[in-house]
This record gives sequence, structure tokens and C-alpha cells, in this order.
Amino acid sequence: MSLLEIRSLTKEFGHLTAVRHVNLAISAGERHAIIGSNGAGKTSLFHMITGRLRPTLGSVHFRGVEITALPPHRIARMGLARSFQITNIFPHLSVRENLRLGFQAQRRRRHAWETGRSILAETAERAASLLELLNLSIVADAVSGTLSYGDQRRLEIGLALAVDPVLILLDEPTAGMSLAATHEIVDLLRQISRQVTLLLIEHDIDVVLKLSDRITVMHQGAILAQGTPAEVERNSRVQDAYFGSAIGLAAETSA
Amino acid sequence: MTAEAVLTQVLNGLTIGAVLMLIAMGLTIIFGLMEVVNFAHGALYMLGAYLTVTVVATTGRFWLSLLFAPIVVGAFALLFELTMIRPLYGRDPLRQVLLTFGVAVVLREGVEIVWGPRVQLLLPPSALAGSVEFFGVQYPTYRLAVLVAAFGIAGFVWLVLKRTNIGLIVRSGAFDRDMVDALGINVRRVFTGVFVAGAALASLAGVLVGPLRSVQPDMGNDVIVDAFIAVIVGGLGSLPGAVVGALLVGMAELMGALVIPGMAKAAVYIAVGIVMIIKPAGLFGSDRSAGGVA
Amino acid sequence: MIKRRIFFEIAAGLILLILPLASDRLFNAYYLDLATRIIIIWIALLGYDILAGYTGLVSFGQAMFFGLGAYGAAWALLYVAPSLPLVLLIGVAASTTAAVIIGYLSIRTRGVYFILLTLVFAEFGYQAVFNGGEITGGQNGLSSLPKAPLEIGSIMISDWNDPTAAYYLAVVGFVVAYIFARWIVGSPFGSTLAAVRDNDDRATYLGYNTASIKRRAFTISGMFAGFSGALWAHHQSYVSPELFHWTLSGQFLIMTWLGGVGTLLGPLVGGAVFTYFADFLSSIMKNWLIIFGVVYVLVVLYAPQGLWGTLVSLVPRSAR
Repeated sequence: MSLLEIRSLTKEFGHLTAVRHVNLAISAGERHAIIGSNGAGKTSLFHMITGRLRPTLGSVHFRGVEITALPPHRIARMGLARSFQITNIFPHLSVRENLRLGFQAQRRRRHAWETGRSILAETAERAASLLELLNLSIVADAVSGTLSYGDQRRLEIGLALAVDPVLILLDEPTAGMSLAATHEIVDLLRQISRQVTLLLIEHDIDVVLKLSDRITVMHQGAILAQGTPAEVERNSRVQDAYFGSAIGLAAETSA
Repeated sequence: MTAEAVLTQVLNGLTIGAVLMLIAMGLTIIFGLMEVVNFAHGALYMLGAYLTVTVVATTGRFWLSLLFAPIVVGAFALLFELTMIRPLYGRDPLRQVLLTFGVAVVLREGVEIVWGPRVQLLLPPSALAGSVEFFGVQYPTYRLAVLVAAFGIAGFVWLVLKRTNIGLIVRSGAFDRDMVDALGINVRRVFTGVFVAGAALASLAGVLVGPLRSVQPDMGNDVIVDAFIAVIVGGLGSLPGAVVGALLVGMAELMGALVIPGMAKAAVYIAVGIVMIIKPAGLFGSDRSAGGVA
Repeated sequence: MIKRRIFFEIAAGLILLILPLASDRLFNAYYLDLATRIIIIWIALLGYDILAGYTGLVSFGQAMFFGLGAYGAAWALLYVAPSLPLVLLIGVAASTTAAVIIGYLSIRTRGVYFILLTLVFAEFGYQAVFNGGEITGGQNGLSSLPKAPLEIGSIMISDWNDPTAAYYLAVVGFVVAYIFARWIVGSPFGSTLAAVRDNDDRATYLGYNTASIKRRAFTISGMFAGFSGALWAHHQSYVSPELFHWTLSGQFLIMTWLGGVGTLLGPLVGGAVFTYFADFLSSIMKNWLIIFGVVYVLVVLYAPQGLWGTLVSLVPRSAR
């Protein structure tokens, strides 16, 4: 059984169809990338999976349970975390507190006599170790809104990690980053992928090739191709869509 | 209840609604364009009424205040917008609410200091005194004049917005501020202009209403909640919504007073509360970020 | 930082406790009564700070819950068997129930809509009480409320007209409220309030039910306001519709922001300053509020941390 199963997912905004009958199955432990030009419907797809948007048609199943109409916080609680394309952190809180809140979200009182103080202490400890992994220990007590872009992006991913997810949806994790920073993120994601299933939206083909087991190519809301990186590269429809439209036009006009 | 009595009450409700409409229009455009909730709007209305008192007391001419009040209040609004509201654009909108609320408090107290706490009496201009036969009822001339004037002013504003370039800019700005900015238009000046215009409208409402209702320092506070209700019910940012909302509130209060005197206002508020909960975006609004059940 | 604050709190607490001893020497009983009123209002301000300061939900509903607590206590004093704890409990129950209901209805809306909705509810409350005829005493309210005795074991305290007794009652109520407020704010739940205020959206995607968190904050603030209102009614022996009016909420708002939101202590400073000067200035000029209005506007524009917040920020980090 797949970890995440998307069947015929469709989203229409009036006359505009943002996502068109998308079918996708992600297995546990997989590293899957979704690529496509802007407006291909990738982010809308993420929105529907995480409960931000209600699909017009279709369903989403996670860990065997249908999550299509569930509110976002319930989906998150089931182990599906998400990072955002536009950094979405707690800007006035410290980096440490950002992560700690993530850990606390999943933390339920274990016994009736468990004190708030012990919960706060335990979550703070877990935040400290995550800080190490993210290479943010130095800025741990800085107000997160004052961090550099790269640091903020790492915190962004960190927040998704803090909820101890089974599956993470990463929306353009390397957006706007330098080559060096991108390498760091790729290493981080590779490390994470040993315990967490990854589904990412990416524009950087290098990252995609380094990091994914399978790729889905989206174009104008529908799936154009799906498969291993090699298969996708060979796919003629992908070639058309990415490189071919000019050739196609030329062929037409000359005919 | 006779047909004449009903008509009289309907006209009364419309009159209240019409005056409220002028206030609501300014309030809603200011919110639609600048996302500022101007708590001080009621105070601007109050200033219009009090300035009329002074103008009439010194010159004896009521008509003069129709010119004087909007200019003075407009000037004040200009100062207000430039010094206090501008710095807060783009910041937390709650701070603007807090700020304009504070200004409303200052204005209310200021008015009481200058003019005193007692109710001021304003009489309608002699040309409009007395009553007129209107579809079988004897209705005060002045009230009819207010109705006509209010709708006339509203109509004028509507024309300006629909037919002029400035109006187009304002409407587009309310729809997409950044796009207007990208077109090279000085958005800040548009904001200021809209704010001043809204204030002038509110002050006109105050001038018109002076002879109808008691002019006292709490009139700003008393009207602002109704104005907010009108704007919310109609949809924050929607001009037709403000018109409809204001008329509804005016009518509802009056009708309510007939049917359940005393608790009329309370009933109106509860009804409004329900509307706000079910569809906070209002009748004509479409603001998805409002939340709500829809 | 926390140690310093606790030190300050204990010191302030001690001052509060021994204040009446100075009563006859430094100032007369009138000021003791003023202090009592300030301390009662402090309880409402604590609740408001939790809602507006910590959670970021500006509301105009405080007066409504304060009024409900006051009127609830008033009815209890008039019609129910006299017992101070019971009277206070009824007042708190009334306001808390309303807060749960209204919170459930209002929290679905956001930002500006939420503020205005609370305003509408407050206005409804005021109109209902103002026009409530016999039940609410209408425009004139309910006056000549009796005092309720407090039985602790075999001791019965009933002479609440004695300024010192009234004062200590307020202090006890306040201390309890303050400890409760500190506990809430320092708890895991309290940390989620900051998350909701800073980025409601992201908090949701972490798994927090932010609507539920906000509702709880709203209820808590209603509870504090009701407790404050109940104590107020008992102390003043009089309740009137003005206690429901949104302009009273506005005063709480000014007190809170003037002092400094999100600090629990800030609003207390604001409340004390406001009430003291209101009392002092009102004997000199009728429209003393304008001074506060101006200061408040200046604070909102240039010192959004409030008077207390700005003071605290001036102390160098190492010394805090």
C-alpha cells in the first residue's frame, strides 16, 4: 500500500482548471520530485494534499486513511508535514522557540501528573538536537525574522521536521539559493530521507536528479510524465513540452 | 397602523439610512483601498455637525456649512492621514485600529471641551422649515431635503468613481493595490485623496443630520457602530454594499422600534451578529480571508 | 531575567500587602478605596492581556464580560443566599459561559472582522441591559446591593464597608488571578499563544488547532473579566449599563496598550496610571480623558511596546 495516494485530483477555480485529474502514488521511503513550469499546478497540488484547498474532484489517501476533506492541523497531526516556498516561520520568536513549538505540536501529555515544565524542557532538548542537524546552533537564540535568507530556509525545513513526520512535502526548498547553500540543503535532505519520505517541488534540475528516485512532470495542471529520472528524460512528450514548443510551432508554420 | 403612518416611518428609516450611507461609503472605500479601519470616522461626522453649529451661530447661514464643514474636516483629515496613518501602512492593521480609536477618543473629548457637554440645538434652514405633502402624508420638508441631498451626493460619488479617471484608479486600487502602483501612479496620493474625500463625506452627513438629531459629544461614538455594521453587512470594500447596508440598518432600527420598542437596537445587533458569523464578507463582499462558515 | 521579575513581583506584592498600614499616615481612606478599585480592574486587564497581548486578538468585548460578571454578582447579591464565594462564582460563571458561546461564534472570523464582531456583541449586550426593564434595572442599573459575608471555618467576615477589609479582599482576588495568569502564560499552552499570534497559518500546519487555542484564550479572558466585574459589583454596591459599553472596553484597551501588551505587568502599570490620573484629573478638568487619548496615540505611533515595555527595554540586556 502506498504511503500517499492521490486519485484523480482536480481543482477548478471557476473557468480555470489549476489541477487536472492527477494520479500519484508515493511509497514509504521514496524520494519523489514534482517538476514543471510555473502555473503547472504543483503548489495547488500541495495545497490540496495538506488541506489548504478543497479539491473539486478526486481524493487523497494518507497511510490508508482518506484525508481529502480534513482540516490542515489534523492532517499535520497524522504525520504529513510541509515546508513553504515563501518562508513561513514565526518571525518574532527565536530560532530555538520556532523548532520547539514544532515538537510541542505533536506532544501529548503522557501522564496526568506530567508538568508543563517537563514538557517545555523535553521539547527544548529535542529542538537543540535539531538545531545541530540544521547547522543553526549558532543563531539558536536569534530572532528568526532577522536571520539571513539561507538560514531562514533551513529553519523552514526544520519546522517541517520538528513535527516528526512520516512524509514531508517540500515546496521549492532551494529557491533563491546560492550553489553552496543548495548543496547544503541537498545533503540535509539526503540525510533526512533515510527516515522520512520526501515529496518535493523543485525547479533546479540538478537537485532533482541528485535527490529523486522518481519524478513527476506536470504541465498545465496535468501529469505529463512519471517515472525514474532516466525514463522521464527520454520521454518525448516531456521533450516537447520543455524544448519542443518552438520546434512544434516551426513545424506547423512551415507545413 | 395606517398606510400614512407606515409611509412616514419608512421615510424616517430611509432618512437615517441615507445619512448613515454617506458615512458608510467613506468608511468602506477607505477600508477597501487602504485596509484601514477608521474608528475616527464617526468623530469626523460629529465634527461636521459641530462646525455647522458654529457656522449657524456666527453667520446665521446654514448653507455655508455645507461648504465650510467638508473643507475644514477635509483639511484635518489630510493632516491626520499624513502624520498618523501613513507611517502605519503595511504594518500590522491592528495598530491602525488602535490608532484611529485613540484619535476618536481625543476628538470626542476635544469637541466637548470646545463646545461644552450639553446638547446643541440646530434648526433646519428657514427655507426648508415646515412640512410638505408627500403621497398623502405631511412630512417635514427638511427631512425630504436630506433624503434628496444624501442620495444626490451618493449619486455624485458613484458617478465620479464610475466615469472619471480618478474613479477608475480608486476602484482598481481597491482591487489590486500593487498593480496600480506598478503602473506608476502615486498610490500614496490616491490614499490620501480617498481618505480626505471619505472624511468630507462623513462631515457632510454631520451637517445634514444636525437639525435632525441631537448634536452632542457622544454622537460620533453612537454612529460608528452603526456605520461599521452597515459596512460589514454590505461587505467591507463594496460601495453598493455600504449603501444597501446603511439603508438596511436605518430601516431595521426603525421598523424594529415599531414592532419591539426598546429592544429594537438589541435585535438589530443580534441579527447583524448572525450575518457576520455566517458570511463575514457581507452581502456584496468576497473577501475569503474573512473566515466564517461559507 | 525571570529571577529578576520574580524578585520584583514579590517586592510589589509585599508593598501591596502593607499598603493599608500607611493609610492613615500617608494618605486617607479615599486613596485606599482608589487602590482597591485599581486592583480589581487589574484582574480584568490580566485577562485582556492574555487575549490581546499574548494571542494577538484585539477585542472590544471585555466590557461585556466585565458587565456580565458584575450583573451576575448583583443578582446573586439581591436574590441568592448571601455568601461571597457563591456570589463571585455566579458572576464568573455568567461571564465564562458567555465567553465560551461568543468565542465559539466569533473566532471563526479573523482580524478586522473579529474586532468588529466583538464590538457588535458588546453593543448588543449594552442595549439588552439598557432596555432590560425590571430585570436589569434598565438605565439606572441596580443599586444598594448588599454585601456578602465570607465564611472561613468559624470566622465570618462581613463588614466589607471597612476600606481595609475591602482592600485585602481585592488583593487576595488579584494575587490568585495573577498567579493563575502567570501559570497560563508560562505553560506549554501559553507558548502556543505566541505561535498563533506570530503566524497562525504556520501553527496550523504544525498541527495546532489554532481556532481551539484562540477560543480558549477568549474564554480565559472572559473569566478574568467576569471575576473582576463580580468583585467590582460587590465593592461598589452598584451596577449600571455603562459597565457593558464598548467605550469601557476601549478604556481597558488604552490601559493595556499604554502600559505595554504581552507582559502582564505592563497593563497593570497602565491600569494604575490611568485610574489614578483619571481620578486625580477628573477633579481638575472634566475632559481628562483627552490627555490619555493623546498619550495613547503617541504610544501607539512611537512606542508600541508601551510605557512599561519601553522602560524594560531600556534596561541593558545583561542587567535584566
